[in-house]
Amino acid sequence: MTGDRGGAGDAAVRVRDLRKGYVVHEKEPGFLGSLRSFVSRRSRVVEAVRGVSFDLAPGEVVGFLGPNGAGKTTTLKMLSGLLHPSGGEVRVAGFEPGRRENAFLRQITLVMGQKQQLIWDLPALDSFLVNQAIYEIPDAQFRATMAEFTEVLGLEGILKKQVRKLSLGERMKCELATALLHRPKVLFLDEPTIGLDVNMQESVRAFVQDYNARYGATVMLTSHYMADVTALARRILVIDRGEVVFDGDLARLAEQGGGGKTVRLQLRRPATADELGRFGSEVRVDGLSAELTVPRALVSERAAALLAELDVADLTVEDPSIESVMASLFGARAGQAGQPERTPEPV
Amino acid sequence: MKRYLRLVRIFVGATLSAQLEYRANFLGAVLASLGEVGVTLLGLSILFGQPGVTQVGGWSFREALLVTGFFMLTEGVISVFIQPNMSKIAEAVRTGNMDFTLLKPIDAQFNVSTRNLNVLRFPDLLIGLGLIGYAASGLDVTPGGALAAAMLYGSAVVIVYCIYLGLSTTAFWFVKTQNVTELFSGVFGAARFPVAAFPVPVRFVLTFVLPVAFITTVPAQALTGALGGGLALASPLIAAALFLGTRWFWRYAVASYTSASS
Amino acid sequence: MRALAFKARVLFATRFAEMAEYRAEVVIWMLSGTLSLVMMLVWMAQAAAAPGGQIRGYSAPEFATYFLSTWLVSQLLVVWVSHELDFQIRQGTLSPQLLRPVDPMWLHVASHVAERLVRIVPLLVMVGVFTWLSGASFTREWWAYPAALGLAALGFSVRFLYEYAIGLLAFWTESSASFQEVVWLVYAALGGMFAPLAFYPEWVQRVAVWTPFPYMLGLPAQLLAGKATLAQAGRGALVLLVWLAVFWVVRLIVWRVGLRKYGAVGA
Repeated sequence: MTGDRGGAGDAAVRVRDLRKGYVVHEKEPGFLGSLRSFVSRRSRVVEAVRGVSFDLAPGEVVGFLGPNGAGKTTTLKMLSGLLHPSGGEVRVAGFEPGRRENAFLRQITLVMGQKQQLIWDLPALDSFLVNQAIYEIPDAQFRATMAEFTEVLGLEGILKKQVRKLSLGERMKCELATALLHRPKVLFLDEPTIGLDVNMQESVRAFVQDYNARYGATVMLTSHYMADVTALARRILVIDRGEVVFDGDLARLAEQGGGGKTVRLQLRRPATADELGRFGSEVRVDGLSAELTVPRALVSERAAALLAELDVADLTVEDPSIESVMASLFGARAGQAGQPERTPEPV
Repeated sequence: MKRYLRLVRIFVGATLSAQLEYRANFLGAVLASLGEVGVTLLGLSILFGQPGVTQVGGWSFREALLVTGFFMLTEGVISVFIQPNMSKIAEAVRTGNMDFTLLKPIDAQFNVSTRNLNVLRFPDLLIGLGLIGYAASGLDVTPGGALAAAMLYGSAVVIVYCIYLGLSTTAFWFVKTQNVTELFSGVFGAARFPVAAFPVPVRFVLTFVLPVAFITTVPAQALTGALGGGLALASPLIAAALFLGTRWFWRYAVASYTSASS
Repeated sequence: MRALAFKARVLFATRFAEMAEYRAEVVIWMLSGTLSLVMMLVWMAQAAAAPGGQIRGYSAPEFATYFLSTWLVSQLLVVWVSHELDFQIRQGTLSPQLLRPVDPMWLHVASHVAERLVRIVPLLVMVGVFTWLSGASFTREWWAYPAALGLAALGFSVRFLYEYAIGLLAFWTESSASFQEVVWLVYAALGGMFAPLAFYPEWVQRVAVWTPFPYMLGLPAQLLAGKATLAQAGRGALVLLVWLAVFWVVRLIVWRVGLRKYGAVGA
């Protein structure tokens, strides 16, 4: 299941049996609970990551998926050096992230969707200049990078506006630009498109794609939006409850997941749901259009039967949506809320 | 080294620009500075205003005014250089912005200590210097004394910075506690007066337990000529020891935040 | 009426829960209000060194009692609502509160009262320790205590209201924090934190009696130190009641005008 790619010595990211546990305090609600908490605190250990292993080749773009609380952000923080693992081994760009050597920090970037590093009261450009100084970017390279980013991200006109006056989408574009200003070789993107509208999401995806093509950077991307993943990544890592449950091609995920294909029909004469129910499950009828799920192995047979017995104008067969694949992969767990937010204290 | 100096220049530029965006604040800050000095002088003058009082703890009015001047100057240094940075530490830990600081390829303690500046409280610095100058003009101050005072005040600033940093570093554990540095403000209030104005056991505490005496009284003594060699030597030594101590504590805190095993 | 009592109870319980979470902060806040203690030590040393061991009728232990009393009362008078309002208005987090059918002021009142209760125990412990360390001795007249407490409660209400009004200045200016600092300094000065009011120059004393400060801080402190009469306490209470009415109206006006501005600009 967890691919052990050959040429591991050249891997941009190399993870072996990574583990992380947190101590979390709990408080009962209500007045008595407060008093009790005043006197003594209850705590327990949460295993956020339990033995994760994978390799990423240089230039590879990987989608890192999983439900809330599965351990995605924790893993990314361990890869960027913000957290020390409780166990296991991790190497990024040849460095041990936890040591946070300056040479390592110059090679990576971590973009956290909800958080921002831009200076609130100043134009974005000023934040860029601060980063230029911090990362020691030569003027010529700085100008070249700025020109490139301005073009690809569409930053004209917003660089000189105060950050607090920018819209969410504009701010995110500037955040991305500032995060990549130093041309890092390894990118960790944690929910980069969260809260953005569709156009902005596409801009962000296009930018990441462009950056990956231009600089051969390795990208590890988490997201709730399947569109991010299908657009950018060929390989998917799925993590659930701290363990990798899938590592492989996007296509294989679709295969392994839902056991059926979606058949779409355009009818000349309307048919009832009952009639269609003979050929498959999860039938949906809307006037002259219909949709149903057919087991993979029986697709040809059922399609032929549909064409023969009903008055069909058009028939298409598609892979099921990634969302439904994920839902069936996680089975009964789908729809359950993830771990509630708490400020954990790492062990 | 040159790189860090350049960074300081960039940080100052950036925060100056940010602050100049809020022009109206300036007037308010000046008001507050004047109010602060007015009230501090009030305290002193009531003490000396009692019938028959010419000395407090062996210090004349002018000499005591020196201490008050150093107190205002230190309040200015804290308001302009130290407090704007230290208060951000607790906030950064709470919001997760500390992560961004730790991801940058520069020393995190340096980043956290120099990133911000509060230009609006600059008048406090001027008022403090003004008071010191006025008080010193009425006394016999030797060039050697002035030099010693300057150097001892330098180590005083280091002591204050270290105490503030040490207290702010606790934010890594007490994430909600954003006002630990208030503890220092509380104790530091005693630095308005020369140490000799306090009862004897308290003088001991203010010198050997909490180094408040070294911040305002000792530099003032260098100007009045009453400085003993022991205290003069102790000041830079304490500053150095505190600097090393808080550096270690900071690194320990960051390691704990990232849960690096000991 | 029952619904109101129920609302108040739930409000209070949640605020208490919040404040209990901040137990460490509460202790720290208490330890940072040391101006009274510093002045106490300085005046004690002065008295000890003065001829006759006293200054203007106060011996060292009497100074200790006076300043410990100002410390105790000032702890009861702590109000932070102006900072909170300033923050809320500037961050825009005031808006959700405006959607609820209750004046946000009551939430702040509940917080303060809850915090006071959390503060009481450590406060009394500290007063005990300081009393023992400094040789202070509080008055034996039983009526001084409820009188002082009553004045402190009135004083707290007056303080809360004017600090609330100051916080509301954030509707118009970024500098409400500086203004609050200046007002605090005046409160400390005229309240008698630097010295008993009788020590101040004549003209300062004459100005001071026209402000609420001596009655909310200095007077209760004097009562506890055994240097004020019940009659004085009664007069002080009346003065504070007048100030209470004044600031109640001021606060209401500033609130209404401010809300209009806030609404006009866009909540």
